[in-house]
Amino acid sequence: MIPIPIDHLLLLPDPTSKVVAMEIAAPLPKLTRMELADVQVLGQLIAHENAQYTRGKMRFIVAGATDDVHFDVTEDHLRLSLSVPKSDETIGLSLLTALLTEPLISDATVAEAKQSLVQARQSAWQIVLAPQAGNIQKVRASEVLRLYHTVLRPDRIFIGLGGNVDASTEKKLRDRLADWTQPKAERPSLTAPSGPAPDTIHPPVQVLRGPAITASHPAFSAHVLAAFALGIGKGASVFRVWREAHAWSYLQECEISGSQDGFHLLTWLSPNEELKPADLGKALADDIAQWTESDRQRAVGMAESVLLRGLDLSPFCFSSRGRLSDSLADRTFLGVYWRMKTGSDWNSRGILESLKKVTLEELKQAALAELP
Amino acid sequence: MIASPMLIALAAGVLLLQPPAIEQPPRLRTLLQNGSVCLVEPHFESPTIYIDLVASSCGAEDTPEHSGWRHLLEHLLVKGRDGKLDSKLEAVGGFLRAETYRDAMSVEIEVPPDQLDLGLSAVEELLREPVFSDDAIARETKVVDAELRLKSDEVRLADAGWAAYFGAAGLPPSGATDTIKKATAADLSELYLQHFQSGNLALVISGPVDLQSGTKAATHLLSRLPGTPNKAKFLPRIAKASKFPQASATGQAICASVPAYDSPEAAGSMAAMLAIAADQKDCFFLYTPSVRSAVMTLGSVTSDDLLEAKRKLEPNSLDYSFGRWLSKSWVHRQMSTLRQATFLRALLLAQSASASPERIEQGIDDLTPAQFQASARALTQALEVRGR
Repeated sequence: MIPIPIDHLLLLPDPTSKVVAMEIAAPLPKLTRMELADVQVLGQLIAHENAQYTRGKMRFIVAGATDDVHFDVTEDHLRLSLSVPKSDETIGLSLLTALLTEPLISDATVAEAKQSLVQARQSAWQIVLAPQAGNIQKVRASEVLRLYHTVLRPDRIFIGLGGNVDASTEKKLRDRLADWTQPKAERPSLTAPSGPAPDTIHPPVQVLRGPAITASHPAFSAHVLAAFALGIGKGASVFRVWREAHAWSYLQECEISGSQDGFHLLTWLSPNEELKPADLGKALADDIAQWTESDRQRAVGMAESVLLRGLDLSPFCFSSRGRLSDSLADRTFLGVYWRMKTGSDWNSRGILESLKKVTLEELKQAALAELP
Repeated sequence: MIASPMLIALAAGVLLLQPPAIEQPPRLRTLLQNGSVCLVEPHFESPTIYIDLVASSCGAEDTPEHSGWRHLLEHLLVKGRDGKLDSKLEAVGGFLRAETYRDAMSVEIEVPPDQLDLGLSAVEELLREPVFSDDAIARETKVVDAELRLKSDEVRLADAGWAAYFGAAGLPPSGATDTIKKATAADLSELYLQHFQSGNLALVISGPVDLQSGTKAATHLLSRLPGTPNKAKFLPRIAKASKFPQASATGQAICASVPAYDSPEAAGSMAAMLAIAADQKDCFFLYTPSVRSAVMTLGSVTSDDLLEAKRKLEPNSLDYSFGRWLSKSWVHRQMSTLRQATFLRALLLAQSASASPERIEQGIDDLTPAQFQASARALTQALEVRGR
């Protein structure tokens, strides 16, 4: 028996909630494009149905709290997400267990999942944030099964239970998963060929991707605050310097995403191909040079609203669907993802305090380091 | 003119009949003599105050000649008189959002608990007649144009259903570039006066705000506005039969015309559509509650199965209890955060002082099996919208 490690199962209680949120974050090793495609198919078919629950039954179970069972794949994790009313906690835990332990992986279900993924239209966010996977049509059931055994292992995954939960909720889930085993994992080959290139996609927006930084890096807080100063709110630099100047609409913002190497700031440009990123970067650098204490204070004020008051403008974007919201599901996921990524607890107040200590000069340096 | 407020306690007269209460009622709605309405709902556990100003489009509705002018007005208005409204709010961690709907324009302001006065001063600024420069209009016209090009497939599918049912009375609130370009400063000023006349306004404040002092502040703000002796009425919106339309979008949708948000037909259509959706892949459901006739859209941008499911639909096979339960869940999700609940309450209040989200739920509770079946049968005749 391989139990879920103690520090892999997080309880994030919110006694005011009538809902139980259940979030899985499975860390992904460095995968080839085809293996990423395998994981996408795996997520799709797990979220669709399993040996115990049909699609209709799954939607019926979650309908009191959310619209569906969701999955998401980024460069560094697979997320599975469901919520149920507190009154349906038991059947919700049963469904969660079935998602993890009884996926239907066959030629037929893989074919159906592939069809759904091929038909799915990606948003601008997904085109930029989803990993560059291989050709979905070439995914085979045997590879999906191998990735299932590799990625969704009781000793690897992180589970978050949020909302109206207590120790009994955790015990019920541990009991259900006590007998879950997986065959010995076949590590994905890091030297495997990349596989066929994906179909060419022209992103509707361009993105500046800054250098990788880890949460333990001394300048991490300065880079997080730079995300707020550069791209959160209408007083942010990209809104003033790019959107206002060029009369663009939407997506001029800045986010922090996760990768195999840590975290990156993503600063969104526009679809206008006549403007070169270097020129836009120059305009932004000129603005950063003019930042004053009021810009720093605005960034701290916005950070405080996001971190403590639930303003739906979080730069934390650990998803291919865009920024995380202040919903119970996303808050629960953030907690479990942060544990998976850093080994520590997500601490909004602690993060805010560290942001407040960032000086104006440190902020400017961090922001400039994000530009090409 | 200072209007005398007429107080109405929603909690069955508790506020007025009892001696000074220790516990406040959950919310207090105040109707002002000038026709505006405010509502305050204390939530002391909330870390944020939500202030929603919603202006009904009654008397200011889009026409084919003016399509999108309200949308442009929204963009210009929320910048504030000196263009610094956002920066004033963001300096303390506040934020402003605005959106234009067919039946209303909404401005949502959120501020920290100690910044109610700042939030209300932002509302006060929005209630003063704005002045727009030609440069500002030209620049914001470009922004709106860019926004139109980014319109989602879901909204494009729904817009096609609205146009098919209601024609010129169902124009998309986002507007059209060619008409937006024709708007002048004088046009927009006139539109503002129509749109933001006192009888069209609802102001809802939720969060860590005392019921009495919050009501007093909101009442003070709104009661300065002149009354509207000849209040306009909404233009008639009568659904007509139409050919199945095509949308410049990806996907397909079923669109149903429904009467007011609290009618059995609206509850029945919602329940039947959501019951159908439960068996489909990747469906979306769009409905903005309205006191008028409106369109409910059930669609999918990824699946080709939805219209086929509609054609094969056997109304008697849809589960009444399941559909009703899904509808209630949908309503609960629209109210699941204080921000969402504040918005929905203000949206409905601006349209009618007696409208409330609770009446949506009541309509679902009151839905009978026969009414549900009638709605399910009607869905078999509903509009089919096809994308490209």
